[in-house]
Amino acid sequence: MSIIEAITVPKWGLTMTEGTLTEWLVEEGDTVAVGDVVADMETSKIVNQVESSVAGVVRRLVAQPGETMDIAQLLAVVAAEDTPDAVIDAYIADFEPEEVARADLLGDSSDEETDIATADSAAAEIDTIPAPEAQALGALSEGGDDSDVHASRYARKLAGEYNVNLNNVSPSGRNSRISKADVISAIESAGGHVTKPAVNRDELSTHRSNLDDSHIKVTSVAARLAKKLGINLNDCRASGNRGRVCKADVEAANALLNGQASGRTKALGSNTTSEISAQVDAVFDDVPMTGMRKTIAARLQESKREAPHFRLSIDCCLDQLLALRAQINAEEPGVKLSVNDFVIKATAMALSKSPDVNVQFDGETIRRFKHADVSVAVALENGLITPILKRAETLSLAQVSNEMRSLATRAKAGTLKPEEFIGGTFSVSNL
Amino acid sequence: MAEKSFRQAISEGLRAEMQRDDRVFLIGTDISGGAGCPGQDVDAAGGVLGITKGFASDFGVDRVIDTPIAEMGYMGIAAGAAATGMRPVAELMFNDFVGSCFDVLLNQVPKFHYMFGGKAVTPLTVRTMIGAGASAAAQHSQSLHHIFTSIPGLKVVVPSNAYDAKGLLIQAIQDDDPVMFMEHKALYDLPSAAAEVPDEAYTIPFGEANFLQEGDDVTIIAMGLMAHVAMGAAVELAKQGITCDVIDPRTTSPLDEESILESVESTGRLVVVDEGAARCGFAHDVAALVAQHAFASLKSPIKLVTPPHCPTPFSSPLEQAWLPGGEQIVAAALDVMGIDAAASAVA
Repeated sequence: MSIIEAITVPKWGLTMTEGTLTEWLVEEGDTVAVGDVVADMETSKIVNQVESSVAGVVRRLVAQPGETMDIAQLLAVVAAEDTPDAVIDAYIADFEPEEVARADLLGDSSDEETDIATADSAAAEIDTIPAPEAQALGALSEGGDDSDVHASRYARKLAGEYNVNLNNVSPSGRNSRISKADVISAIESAGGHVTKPAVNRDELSTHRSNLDDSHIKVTSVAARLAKKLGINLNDCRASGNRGRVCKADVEAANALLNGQASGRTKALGSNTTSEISAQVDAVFDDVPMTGMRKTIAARLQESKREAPHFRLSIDCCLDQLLALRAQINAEEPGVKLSVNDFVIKATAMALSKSPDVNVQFDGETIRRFKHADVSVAVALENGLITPILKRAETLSLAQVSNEMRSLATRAKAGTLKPEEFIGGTFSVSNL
Repeated sequence: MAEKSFRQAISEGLRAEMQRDDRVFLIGTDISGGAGCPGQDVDAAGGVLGITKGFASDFGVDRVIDTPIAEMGYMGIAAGAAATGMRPVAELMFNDFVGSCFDVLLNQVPKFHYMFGGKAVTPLTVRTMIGAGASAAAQHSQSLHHIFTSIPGLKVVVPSNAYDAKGLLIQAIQDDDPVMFMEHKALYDLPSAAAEVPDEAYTIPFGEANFLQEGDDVTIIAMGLMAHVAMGAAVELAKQGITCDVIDPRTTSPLDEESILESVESTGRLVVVDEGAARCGFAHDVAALVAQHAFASLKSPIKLVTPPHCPTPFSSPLEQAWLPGGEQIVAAALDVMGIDAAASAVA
């Protein structure tokens, strides 16, 4: 039996979670060797080439250009030439991304699933009441008279329904009052589950009469229509002559009872943004975000959200710096320093001098870096990237300048290697 | 326990606190009724409502201070006294006059505790009349509790009945923060505002709503005079098989958000009745609260019942039309229930 192998979305660097296939560089039927370039793929950081890790004939290109996929997802299938199509199809259908690669990415959501499962089972178990939960819940109902305990109306009502003694609930409200939420949390921490009544929006227009309507005066057309539409004549106004329900009354009742219900459901439920925008003449364009734009947005939001921000601004007199720059640029062939180079160098020297600034904080420990790896923001046509001047404190001004020029050039060409833009210790931006 | 009027209950609350604590004093226009002036009867009117009648002879004119019509001056005196250890109860006859002393109540008194790093307390109580219904015209009929509610540092009380009035007033005087105690002028002698009131002193904590009635279908929020109008509407609604939670928040700042949200989560429908403002008012504040925190529980859009956005008319029929009435509340409740009011009236 022939071997079938997969080309999957690679994981370039720790932070890569997905990639967008930009272009296939092979066609179905091509023969590839290990290390052959098969596709271009864009990540949040770079456009890179996907190499085949297997050898054989490309039997199926599964991913489409433009498609964004999680890492380890199937890109293409490589197998021997004589492997039947049906076997390839079965392989694709049964393909499971490797768990190892995905585990760290999906950590959060899989935890969530577990939580939901636990909650569900807790809910299910309430009916059967297994021993430990029963004991904990039972303990909640014990205690003396709780009629003097300070609790809100609905807290008391709920406690009554679930047989909870309010002496066992700790209050969180104003004036140490027990709220409904406090009772719910006491029940749930004892292993119980409080069902929340969900609003069923389909059933909101429930004010339909089911009384006998045979005595109601009605025009014959209206009576036929009401029967057809399932409208009870008690739900109709009687605006016809001689106090009869007329056709318009039945139609109005129908619009109210049937039309409104479905209309409301639609408005609240199924309409997606795209459907709504399709209904009105387009007054805007949705511009898809590139991976880089998404990353910029996510990182900026994360930073604003999680790090305390403070701003310092100082005015510096640069006369001497500018004079030095003019002098070096005039005297040293092959060197063309920018003011930014001076800023980078000065930053690196300052970081060496004040290592307590050259730190990262992960919530547990302060990581103090031994070298000043200065990230420098470089503007690109579609965003920005921050290549790193490694150990900038050890570099001369000329080295800073030349290295920076090289990094910026490759940044703009999209050919930076991941290690060249991941892991800086301090950032400089003049964008 | 005797049944007492709203007016009596307030008078009792003031008297109890003046007896308990000699730092408590009263100041305002005519509150002793001219006592202390040459040729004046000591036991004079006791304010335009007679609430402080007899206080001057019982406590002395040093503790029941008559002032000219000079709100800025006497409110400033009260604020300074509060900041230096007294517990003044200043009477701003009509809350409509607040413009004359608003600096004190907007920018001084509510800010002291904060501006002095928590070292200063300002136990000032301001009693003031709100409300329409007496043909007092546009300049004496407003209910401005929403303005004070929007000022951090002020507590705002809008009692609806005699029992609450006494307990909340005593709480206000004992409270270390400035409190606006806003009495609807129609309640003083309203029979339904009278209640069994204990002779002894008691307090009602701020920020705890009173459930005037419990029901399943609609939550109605109303306070002051409107609590009585809402209760009338609730009785009408009950005849149609619709039962309501009628909640009197009693204080708008702090507000018992929890009780409101818990009730709406249970009924799924909300009608807010307020005499205050047609725009940016208390009703809108409650509607926003519920829309933010209990939207998923709502079965229909929130309805607000407020006066129209215009000055209170002088003409009595127009004024009655201007005031939120029981019929409007019933209509709003039927509306949130999804019932055609016209059809149900025919039926």
